[in-house]
Amino acid sequence: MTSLRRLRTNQRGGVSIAVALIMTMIVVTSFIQNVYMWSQEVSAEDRERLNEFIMVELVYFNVEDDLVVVVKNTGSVEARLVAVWVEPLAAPNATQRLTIDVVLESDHISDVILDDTQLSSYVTFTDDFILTVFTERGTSSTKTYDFTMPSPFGSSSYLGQLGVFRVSWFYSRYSSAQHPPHPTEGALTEATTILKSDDYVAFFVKLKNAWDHPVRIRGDSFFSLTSIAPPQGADEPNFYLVQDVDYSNTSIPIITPYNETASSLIIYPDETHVLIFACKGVGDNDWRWGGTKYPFGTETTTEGSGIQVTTFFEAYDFDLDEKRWFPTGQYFGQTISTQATLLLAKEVT
Amino acid sequence: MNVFRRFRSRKGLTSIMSTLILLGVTVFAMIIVIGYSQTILAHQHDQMGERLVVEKVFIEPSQISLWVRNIGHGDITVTQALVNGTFYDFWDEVIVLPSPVYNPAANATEIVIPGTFDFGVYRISLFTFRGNELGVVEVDYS
Repeated sequence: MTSLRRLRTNQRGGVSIAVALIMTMIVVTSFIQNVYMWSQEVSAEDRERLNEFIMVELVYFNVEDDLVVVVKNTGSVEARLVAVWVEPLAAPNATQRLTIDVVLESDHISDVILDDTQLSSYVTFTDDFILTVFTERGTSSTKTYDFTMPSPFGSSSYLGQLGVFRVSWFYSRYSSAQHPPHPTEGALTEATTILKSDDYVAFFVKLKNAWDHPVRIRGDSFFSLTSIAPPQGADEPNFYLVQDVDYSNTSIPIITPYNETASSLIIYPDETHVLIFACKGVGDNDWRWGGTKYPFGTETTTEGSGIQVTTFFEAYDFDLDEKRWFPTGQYFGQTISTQATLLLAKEVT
Repeated sequence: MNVFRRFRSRKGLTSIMSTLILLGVTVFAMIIVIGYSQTILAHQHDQMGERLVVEKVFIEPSQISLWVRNIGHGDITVTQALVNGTFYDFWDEVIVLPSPVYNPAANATEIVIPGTFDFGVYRISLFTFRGNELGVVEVDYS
């Protein structure tokens, strides 16, 4: 008691107590802060996990018999794919866990190719199996590969009623003598307005094969400006497929006609291709919209958009004996429309 | 010589010694406090950072096999499994190590729950040594 009284009355004792209290507070505060910071860090990781979504869009075997898994990151954060489980329905005991390392940014699609030498003998083109892809954070997506499903044309449940192709309108655009940068050489990042002064207009449409079979694009596929009615007696407003357009010749850009052969322009599953529409007729190199050949020569008003792509294509199927895709000789068509682009028709001068 | 005489003074020696002793006690106390708080912090970190993902479940009549991956911070010691309300103790603790950054898929660990399992829906979860319930999954065994 005497010591305590001394400590209370002594000035140095008071300072000691104050220093001890401050030190204790510093230790406690740093402790609480450390725990708080850690909880914030763990919470941030949990939030990222909650915002992570992936989707296995397509599973197919390529011509080398490798298993191709098309994965899309539908979440808002970057995802790192780390493992694939492949469970054959005929032999669950032969389930495999394969490690992968694919980083997928948000809203991006990537192919995960599993070499056929890695796969068990129960995972082939003709087997049914369940496939699950896992991310580093533990998110997963599962898809069943059903051999019987994609065989007859059009019966794939993946396609539903949406058809074979998807058009990415955002990455589609036009080009002209006045706006010559070749869209296929750079990023197709603009959906634009066609100006009245634009001559020699070509349309670049980014098309994706969303089916699990390859298809060959036919030369009579065409592009239409449906909402701008051509004048009475004028040509129909269709632009046909061309191989390429060379805008380096600034006076009259040169069209390379689309030379359709049995092997030209085959688009494999999940591949994208930019189709160029510019000429008046099938296999033609004559400008639809250039010089004096404006399809809408008498139009003087601004028209709203209405563009439409019609693709005709030949379906391919897989030859199980020869292990290769072959053309079936069956032809199909698909028309895709949009209202996304504003078109300004050329003024009559 | 006066200096030596001052050191020989009983009063002077007591003052220096008491200061040194107090300093030593303070440093020792601080070491204990900091060490203890670090231990508690590490424990807190591990407890708050325990995360486990169940990648695959295989159910057989005599056992349930779970393939799990530690996606949290620190080792996870699994001590019990809860299957449809029944606890199953692991006599040998199962330690699931976190995956290294350079190879995040490396450590998928198999945890086997022995027992008798009929067809049906199973709700399975794992309890850790630190008391967290992780890896809750529902599986239809048919």
